[in-house]
Amino acid sequence: MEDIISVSGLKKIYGKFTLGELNFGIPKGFSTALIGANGAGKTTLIDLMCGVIHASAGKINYFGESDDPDSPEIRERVGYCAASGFFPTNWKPKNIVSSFEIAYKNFDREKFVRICDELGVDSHPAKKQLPMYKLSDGNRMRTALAAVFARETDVLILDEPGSSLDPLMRDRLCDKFREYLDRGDGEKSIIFSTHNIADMENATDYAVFMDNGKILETGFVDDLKEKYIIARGDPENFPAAKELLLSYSANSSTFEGLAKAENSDKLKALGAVTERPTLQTLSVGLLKYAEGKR
Amino acid sequence: MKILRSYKLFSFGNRRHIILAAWFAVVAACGFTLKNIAAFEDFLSGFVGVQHMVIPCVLSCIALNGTMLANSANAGFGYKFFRSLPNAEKHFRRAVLGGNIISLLGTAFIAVVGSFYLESTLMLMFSVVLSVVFLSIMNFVQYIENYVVKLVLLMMTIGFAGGIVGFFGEREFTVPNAVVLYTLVICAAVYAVSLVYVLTNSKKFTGKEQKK
Amino acid sequence: MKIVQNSDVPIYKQIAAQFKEKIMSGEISEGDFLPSIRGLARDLKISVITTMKAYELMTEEGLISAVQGKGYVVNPQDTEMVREQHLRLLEQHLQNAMEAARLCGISREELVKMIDVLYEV
Repeated sequence: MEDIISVSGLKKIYGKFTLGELNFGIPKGFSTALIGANGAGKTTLIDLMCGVIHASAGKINYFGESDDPDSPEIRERVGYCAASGFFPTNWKPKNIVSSFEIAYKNFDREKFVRICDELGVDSHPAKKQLPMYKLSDGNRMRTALAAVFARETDVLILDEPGSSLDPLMRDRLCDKFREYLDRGDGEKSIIFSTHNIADMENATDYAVFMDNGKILETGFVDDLKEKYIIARGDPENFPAAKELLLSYSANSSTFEGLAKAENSDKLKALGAVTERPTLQTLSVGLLKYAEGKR
Repeated sequence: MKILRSYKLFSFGNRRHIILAAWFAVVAACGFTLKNIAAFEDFLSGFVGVQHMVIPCVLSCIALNGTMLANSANAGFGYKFFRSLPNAEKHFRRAVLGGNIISLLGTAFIAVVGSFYLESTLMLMFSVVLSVVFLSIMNFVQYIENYVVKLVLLMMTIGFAGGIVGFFGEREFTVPNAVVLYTLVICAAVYAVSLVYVLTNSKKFTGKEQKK
Repeated sequence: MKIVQNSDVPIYKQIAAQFKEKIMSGEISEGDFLPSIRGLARDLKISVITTMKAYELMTEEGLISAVQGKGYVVNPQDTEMVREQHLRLLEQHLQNAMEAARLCGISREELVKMIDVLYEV
């Protein structure tokens, strides 16, 4: 499978925090979630990919074509949106329109207005205009997303797009993701970071789990769901089951944990019940595992 | 044209240019009134004179404020947005150049208008010199990441400028020409250095030369 | 198409099963194109990889095959095999019926009679 972005030997040193060294690829034509705790390095990684900051070492390859994050041609094809305060706080929607028209060749003003409608943005480029600082976080994010979606891009790189949105909007965002992928018919991809994955599960194809600046696990969600299982059992069997569990929580009534699927039979022999993890339970299990190892 | 577009990119969403123009219009109106209709009056002429020093300085600050803010991660001015744009570095360089040009042209315009009613050429000249001093400072502080440090530096310059105005205001007609000439030359040299510095270090804007 | 999100059966298997049913029943016929992977994902509000996996499963079973640049097309179905599959399905249903009959004490004769009645309707 082709990679839309592949990272090799990537490193960024920030005082005490070190990201990397990272080596991984993100498959083309899918929606990829970067999942990790706060401070895992998701934003740093996204900033590196979008040229906001530059790597201390290593390379990022885009579209299998270029290694240069500063190349205007590459940036034209990347739709980037930061987690918060992406636009200057005194900007109104009309300023966003003008700036996008100056900076990008592929911005469509009508589309921006249309998507603002779809996402129910309060401050509207065609109606009343409010500066960013007067908007709620959710509205700011929606405006920024509308602007990014209004460009003709090949990959979207979004930092925490769902965090400040309400459940309804998050659902609509997932719809937008699938629409974008469908329109690209395998040529367009989405990369987004999140730490509440449950709402985005149905718009996630590929997952990259990060912890403390390192990659923990990568894979297609359906494959990962077959690689791991969630096991629950009685407390008296916990000491024996503990060896098989990657991460767990236990109390006097029950225990629950994440295990590799190949240990399923052994766990069942200990009287445990097993189930396929959801992306949410898988994330919790894996991140807990990483936390324990740290 | 490209320069103007890039300049615009960094300075949306404020009416400061318009407010400043209106402010200057009021001062100019006062100046012409003083000169042609009203009798010479100490307070008003002092007011017009001082405004002529202040407005060009404010203009230089406004013209380079956008790019300066875009360099500060903690100023809430969308630095990630600007840095992620295609040709971010070029836009930044052009915007800084544009800010310098606009501010110099504006200052020249203010000085020309002022020459119709201000009696002291020395005052006119100081207004130009102060504007250039401010521009130099604005150029030098562009890449300082900490917004507070920038503000402190600017405040110090304002104090310094105020001192000069006061100093020369006292001895307005007694300054020998050589001193004026030296001041001009030094200011021009400092300004040239600042401009070269800000334009040749635009890599800093893209975060390429960030400290580890 | 209907999907149960929190089922023990993975979603991709649900999708494959439903397509299979439609192909067997002739609702989708030979030479027809299935919806595009990403289009179906959009419609069903599920992730792309899930529909992709469903199509891969069907391809492995020989129900459909990928056409470069066009999508997935329904293969000509082996009529003998289709018949066999239908027979197997029928057998299974009859077994269920017998099970139910046994549970409420309906005799073999009565069951046959019921089938006769149903046929006449």
